Amino acid sequence: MPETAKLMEQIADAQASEVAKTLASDEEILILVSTDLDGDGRFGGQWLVVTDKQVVIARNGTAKQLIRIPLSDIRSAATEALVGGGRLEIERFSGPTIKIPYSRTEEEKLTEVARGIEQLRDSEALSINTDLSRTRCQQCGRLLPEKNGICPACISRLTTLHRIAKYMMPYRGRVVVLGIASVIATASELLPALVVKRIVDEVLVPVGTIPPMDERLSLLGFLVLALIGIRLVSWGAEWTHGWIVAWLGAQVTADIRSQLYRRLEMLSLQFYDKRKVGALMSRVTRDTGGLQEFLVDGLPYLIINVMMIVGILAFLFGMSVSLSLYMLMPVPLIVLWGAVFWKRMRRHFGKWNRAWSKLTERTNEALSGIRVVKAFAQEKREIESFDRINARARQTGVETELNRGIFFETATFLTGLGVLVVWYFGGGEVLQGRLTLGTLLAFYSYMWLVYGPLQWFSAVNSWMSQAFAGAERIFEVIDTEPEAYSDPNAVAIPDIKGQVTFRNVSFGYDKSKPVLHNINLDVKPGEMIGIVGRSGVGKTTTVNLTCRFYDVDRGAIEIDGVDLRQIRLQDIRSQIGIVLQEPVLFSGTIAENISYGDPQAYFSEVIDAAKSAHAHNFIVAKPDGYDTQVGDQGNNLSGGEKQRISIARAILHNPRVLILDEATSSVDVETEKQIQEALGRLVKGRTTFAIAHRLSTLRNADRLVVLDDGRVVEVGTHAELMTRNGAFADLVRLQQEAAQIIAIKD
Amino acid sequence: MTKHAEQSPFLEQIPVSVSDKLRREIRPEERVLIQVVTDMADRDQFEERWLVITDRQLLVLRESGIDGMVSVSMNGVRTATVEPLVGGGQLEVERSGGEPVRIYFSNTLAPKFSEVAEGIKQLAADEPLALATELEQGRCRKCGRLLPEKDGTCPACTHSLDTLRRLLGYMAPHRGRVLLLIGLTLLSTLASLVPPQITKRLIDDVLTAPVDTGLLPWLVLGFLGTGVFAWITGIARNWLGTWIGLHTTEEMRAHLFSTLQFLPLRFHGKRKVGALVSRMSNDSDLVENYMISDIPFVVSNALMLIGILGLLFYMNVELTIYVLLPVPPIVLGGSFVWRRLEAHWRRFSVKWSRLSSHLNESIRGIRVVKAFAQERREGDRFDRHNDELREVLVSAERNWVVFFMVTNFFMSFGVFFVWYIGGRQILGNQLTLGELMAFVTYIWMLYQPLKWFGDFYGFMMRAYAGAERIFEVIDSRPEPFDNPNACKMPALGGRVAFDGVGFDYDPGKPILRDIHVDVAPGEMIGLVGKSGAGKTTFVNLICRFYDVTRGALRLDDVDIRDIKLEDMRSQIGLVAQQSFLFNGTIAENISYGCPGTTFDEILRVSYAANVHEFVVKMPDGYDMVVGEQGNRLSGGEKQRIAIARAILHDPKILILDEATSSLDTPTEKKIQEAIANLTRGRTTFAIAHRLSTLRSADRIVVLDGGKIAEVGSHKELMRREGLFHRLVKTQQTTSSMMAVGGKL
Repeated sequence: MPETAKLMEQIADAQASEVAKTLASDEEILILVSTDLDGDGRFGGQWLVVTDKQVVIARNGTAKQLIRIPLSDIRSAATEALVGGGRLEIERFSGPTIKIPYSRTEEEKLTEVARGIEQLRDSEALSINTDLSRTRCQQCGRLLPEKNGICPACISRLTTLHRIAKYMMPYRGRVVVLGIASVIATASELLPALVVKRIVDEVLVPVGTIPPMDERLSLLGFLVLALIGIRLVSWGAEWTHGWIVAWLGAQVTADIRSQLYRRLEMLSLQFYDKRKVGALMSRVTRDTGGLQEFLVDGLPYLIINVMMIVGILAFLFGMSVSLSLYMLMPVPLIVLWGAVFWKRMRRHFGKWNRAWSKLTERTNEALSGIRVVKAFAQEKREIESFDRINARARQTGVETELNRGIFFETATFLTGLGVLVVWYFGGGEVLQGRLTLGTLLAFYSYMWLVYGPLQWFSAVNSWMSQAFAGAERIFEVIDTEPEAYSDPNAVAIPDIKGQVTFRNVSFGYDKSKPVLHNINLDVKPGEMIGIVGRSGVGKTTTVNLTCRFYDVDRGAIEIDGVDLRQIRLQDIRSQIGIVLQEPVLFSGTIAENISYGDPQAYFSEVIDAAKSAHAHNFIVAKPDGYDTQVGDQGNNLSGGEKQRISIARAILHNPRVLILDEATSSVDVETEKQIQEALGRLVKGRTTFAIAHRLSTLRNADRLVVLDDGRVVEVGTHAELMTRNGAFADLVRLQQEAAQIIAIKD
Repeated sequence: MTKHAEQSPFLEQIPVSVSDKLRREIRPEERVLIQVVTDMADRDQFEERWLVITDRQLLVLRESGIDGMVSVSMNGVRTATVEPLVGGGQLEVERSGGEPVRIYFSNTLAPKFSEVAEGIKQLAADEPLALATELEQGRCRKCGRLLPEKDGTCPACTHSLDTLRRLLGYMAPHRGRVLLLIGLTLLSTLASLVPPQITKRLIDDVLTAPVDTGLLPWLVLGFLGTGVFAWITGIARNWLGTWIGLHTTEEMRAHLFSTLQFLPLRFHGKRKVGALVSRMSNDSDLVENYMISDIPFVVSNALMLIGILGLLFYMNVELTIYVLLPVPPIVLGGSFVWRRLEAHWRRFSVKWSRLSSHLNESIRGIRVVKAFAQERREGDRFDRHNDELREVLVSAERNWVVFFMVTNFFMSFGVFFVWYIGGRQILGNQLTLGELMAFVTYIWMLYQPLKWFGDFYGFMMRAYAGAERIFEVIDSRPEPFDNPNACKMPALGGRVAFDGVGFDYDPGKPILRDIHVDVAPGEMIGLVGKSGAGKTTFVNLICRFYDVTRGALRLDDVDIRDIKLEDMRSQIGLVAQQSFLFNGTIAENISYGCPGTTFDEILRVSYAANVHEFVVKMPDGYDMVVGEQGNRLSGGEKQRIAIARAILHDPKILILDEATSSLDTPTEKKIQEAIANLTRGRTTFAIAHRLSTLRSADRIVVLDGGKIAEVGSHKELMRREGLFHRLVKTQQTTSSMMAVGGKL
C-alpha cells in the first residue's frame, strides 16, 4: 500500500486537460475534488486541485477563473460548519481568505481536504482518509439506497448474471434438462393456435369445396385430440420445469448464502466496524431471498419469454408479413413508454422507500426510548411527530401507486391498440379473400402470446435491478479479503509461552486518526499487566491488537519473539482468552456455552471450569443445572451469572494469554468480589492484560501501564507509580476521594 | 366487551368421562373455581390428570381408574408451592393433618401451575381468588400449534371474517369514496365484458357474412371506445383504491403508534423492540399491500365472475355446463393441496426464524466467535439451518408446482370441451363461430384469476395475520391517561409514602414485599442492595411505570393510582443508567421535557449539569446532531445531557438509577457535581452499586430479597453493623486495595 493516499475524483477529460495545462510539468496532483456549490452558495460546483506546490481552485467548474495559492502562502485551512452545509476557509498570508462553500453531503470530504492542505503546507506526508462514506453513486450521481451501498442503476447486468450463472455450474445436468423442458414448453405453447386455425378453416368455415359432414366431425374430433395431446406434452414440460427450478433456485441460493455467511465469519473486525449489524443481516436474509425469488420466477422466464417472442414472430411472419407488421405497430410505443416511465417510477419508489425507512427509524427510536418518553410525559408529542412522518409515507405511497397505475393502464391500452389494428386490417384482408378466417384468429391468439412477455419485460427490469443490486451486495462481501486464516507461510506456534512485545506500535481505526502512538512494552510470560487510563485513551485498542483483531499500522507486536502477523491466526486465537465487559453468550445450554471454545470437552472439565469461575453453585441451583437454556443472548441469566459463565468459558479454553476487558464494571459489590476471586484463579500462570476503570480490579497486577491520549505515560509497579506521584497517582486519588466519601461521612 | 366473553384460562374444558366423575364428587351448590389439566402423573410418567378446586374441596381426577385420585377439604389446606424439577415441576399443597398433595407437570405447564399455586394460597388465606386473566402462551390455545412468538397470534386460527370486518371498519370514514370505487369497478368490469361481444359480431356479421356490410370500421371503433373507457376507469379506479388503502393503513399505523405510546411498561417489558417495530413496518406493509392490490383485485374479479357466468348462460346453457365441469375438481383438489401447502409455509417460517436468530446472534457476538476461533463451527451450524431451510423450501415450492399444474390441467379441459362440443354445435347450426370465439375468450377471462387465486389466498392469510398482530397491540389496555376521575395535582409537595407495597412482574414471583417507607419532601433516599434486590422496581413504582400489586403508594397522601398520570409524570425526573437520547440536536434533547424553552434556560441548565464545557467545543455547539441514540457522544457526555434534561424538567421528585456506573473516575466526579446541583430541594431517590454516589443521602434504604432490610442514616446503619455495614466493608476492601498497595 502506498504511504500517501491520494484523493482523486472523476473529472471530465476536457476539464482534466484544462486543469493539467495550468500546472507545471513536475507537479503532482495529490487531491482533486469537486464541490457542489458555486462561490455564491448556489448549486453549481467548483474544482479544487491540490498539488505538492499549490492549491488551485477552478470557479464555476471551468478552468477559466482560476485562483492559485502557493502552499507557502497558506496560513491555515479549516472547515466551518453552517446550516445545511459549511465552507472550507483557506486563510492566506497575502490577501483575503478564500471561502469555498459546500453542502452537507460533501462535509466529510472537505474536512479531509482541509487536513490534507495543512499537512502538505507543513511538508508532511499526505495522510488523509480517502475511504469516504459515499451517499451518492459515483457514476450516475443518484442517491444510494444505503451509505457506501451499491447503485442499482449502475450495475453491469451481464457481469452479475455471469457470476450468478457460475453458481449453477455444479448442477449443469439439471440446467440442461431445464433448458430442454423450457424449449418444449415454449414450442407447445405455440402449436394450439395452429390447430385452432385448422378447426376454423377446415371444419367450421371451410374454404372452397365443403367436405361431407361426418368427415368434418371426425376431423374436429381429431383436432381436439391433437389439442389435448399438445397440452399433455406442454404440461409434462412445464411440470419438469417447475420441479427443477424449485430445486435449483433453493439450492443455488443456499449455496450463495452459505458462502456469504462463512465469509462474514472470516472477515476482520475492521469490516464490522463500518457496518451495522442490521445491514449485514439483511444481506444474508433479504438479499438472498430476493435473489432466490428472481432465480425461481425471473431468470427462467427471461429465457422462456425471449424464446417465446422470437418463435412467435417467426410464425407470424410466416403466416402473413403485412399483418405481422401491422401487429407490431404499437410495440415501439410500449417499449418507449416503458423506458420513459420506469425512470420516473424509480424516483417515486426511492422516495417511498425513504419515507418508509424514516417511519421505521422513528418507531424504533420511540420504542427504544419509551421509558424516557413516559418519564417526561411526552407521548402526545411523539405521536404528533409520528403522524407527520406517517402522512408523508402515505402521500408518497399514493403518488407512487398513482404513477404505477398510469403506467400499467396505459401499457394495457397501447397493447389494445394492436388488437384493433389487427382486426381492422386483418378483417379487411379476410373480406378481400387474401386471408382465411382461421389465420386471422390464430394471429389474434398469437398476439396475446407476444404482448404478455413484452409487458413482462418492461416490469422485470426494475425487479432485475433490485435482485442484482442484492446479488452485488452479496458479492461485495464475498469479495472482501478475509482474515489470513489460511496463509501457508504462517509460522505454527502451538505452544505459546506468553511473551508479548510491543515495538513502536502505532494504530488508528481510521488511518488518518491514530489512536495509539509509538507504544513500547515488553511483557514477560506469566506477567499480569494492568492497563489504566480514562475512557477513549486506547486501552481496548491495545488488547484488540494483541488478539490481532486488527493489524498494526506501524511497528510490530511480537509473541514469543515472532511478529504476530507471521503466526498462524488459528494458533493465536486458540491460545488467547478474552473476557469482555458485556459477556456475550449464545443461545444453548450453560454447558454448551462453557465449552464454546472446545466443544469436545469432557463434562468433568466443564464442571471444573465452572467451579473455578465460582459458577458451579448457581448453576446447580437451577432446575436444569448445566442443561439450563441461557435464552436468546443469555437473557435468562443475570449479568453477574453471565459474566461468570464467560469466565468459565475462558478458563476451559485454557489460554496462554488472557485479556480481561472491564470484566467486572457493571455488577454489584458482592458479585464483583466473587468474580474477582474467579479471575484471581484464572490469571495464575498466564500472561494477563487487564483493563479496568475501577483500579481495584488491578490489585494483582505485576506492572501497570498508564495510557493517556494513545501514549504510554507511565509504566511500573503500583508502589513505583505512587511514589512517582504522576498520572497514576492522580487517578488513584480521584477514585479514593469518590469511593471513600461514604466511609468518612459524618 | 362483556366479562363472560373472556373465559378464564383456569377453567379448562374437561372430557365427559371426567366430568361425570366430578359430578359424583361435588355437591350441586359447590362452585368450581379452578379446573386445569396436567400432563404428568408422576415424576416421569406422562398421563393426563385434572386438578379441580371448588370453594369446599380440592380434587385430583383421572380419566379411568381411581389410582392417584385425591379429594381433600379446602379447610385443611395451608399453602401451596411450586418446585422446579428437571424438565418440569411439582405443585405441593400443604395441609394440616395429612400428607401434602403433589401434582406433577412438565415445563410447558409451569406458568399455569405457579399461577394455580398462587390461587390456592389466596383461597387458603380466605382472600378472594384473583388470578391472572392471561398466561404467557407458547402455543395456540385453539389448535395447539407452536406460536411464532410468545403471546403472539396463531396464523392458523385467525378468524378471517372478523379480521376483514375490522379492516373494512377502517374504511368507514371514506364511505363515499368506497361507493364511488365500487361503482367504477362495476363499470370497468362491464366494459371488459364488451370486447368479446364485438369480436362475435365481427366474425358473424362481417367476416363470415355473405356480403360486406360496411360494419368493420364501426366495430373497430367500438374496440377503441371500450379501450379508452377501460383505460380511464382503470386509472381512476387504481388511484381511488390506492388512496383509500393508504389512508386506512395510515390511520391504522397512527392508531398502532399512539397505542404503543400509551401502553404501560409492563407491556413493553415483555416484548422486544424489534418485534414491535416489525409490526409497524412488516405487518402494516402486508396489510397495506392487501388493501391496495388484493381487495380491489378480489372485488373486481368477483364481479367479473358473476358477469361472465351470466353472459355464458345467456349465450349457451349447454356449453356453459360443459365449461364448468372442471371447476369442482379444481376447487376440491385446490383446497386439499392448499392445506398441505400451508403446513409447508409454516414450517418454512419456523426454519427461517431459526436461521435468522442464529445469524443475529453470531454476528452480534462476532468478537467472541473470533476470540475463540470458532468461525468454522459457526459456519457448520449455519449450514445445517441453511440446508433445512432449503429442503423445506424445495418441498414447498414443489407442492406449489403440483397444485399449479393440476389446476392448469383441469382448466384446459374446459377449453377442449368448448372446441369439441361447440364445434359440433356450429356444424349443427346451433351456434355461430363468433359465439364460439366469444366463449373461448370468456373462459380465459374466467380462468385467469382462478390461477392466481392461490397466490392471493396466501397473501390474504399473511395480511390477516399481520392485521391480527396489529389489532392485538391496539386492543391492549393503555395506561389510564384519560381517567376522568383522576385527581389533578399540578403542584406536588414531594412526599412519598410506601404503605405495605408488594409487587410482582409475574404472579407467584414477588419482587417487592411489604415495603413501608415514608419519605419527607426534599429528603434524599439512597437505595442500596445486591443486583436483583428490587431497587429498580422500587423506583419504577414511583414513576408508576407499573401499578403496585398489593398495598398502596401515596404521593402527598393521595394514592398514586388516583393522580392524573400526566401531572404526576411531569413532576418526576428520571436519570437512568443507560441515558437514552433522541436523534436531534443537543438543544432539542435538553429541552425534551419542555419543548419551547428559551435558549437562555438551556444554557443555564447546561452550566449546572457540566454540559456547557464540552458542548462549546463541538463544531455545531448546541445545534450538533447527536446521532442515532446519541452515539456521536461519549457515555459521560450523554449522561450529562440526560441530567441537564432532568434539571430543566424541574421535577419535584427525582430518581437517579445508577446514574454514574460504567464511567471513568474523572467523568464520574463531574457528573457527581452535576447531580449534587440537581438534588437540591427535591425529593430524591438514588440507586447505586457504588456506595460513593450516595454520599449526600439523608437516609439509606437497604433492600434484600425484595424486602427492606434496614433503613437509617449512614451513621446509624454503620453503627448497627448489619447488611449495609457489610456492603461498605466489602467495597472498601476491594477499592482501597490500590491505596494500601501490594497484592492480596
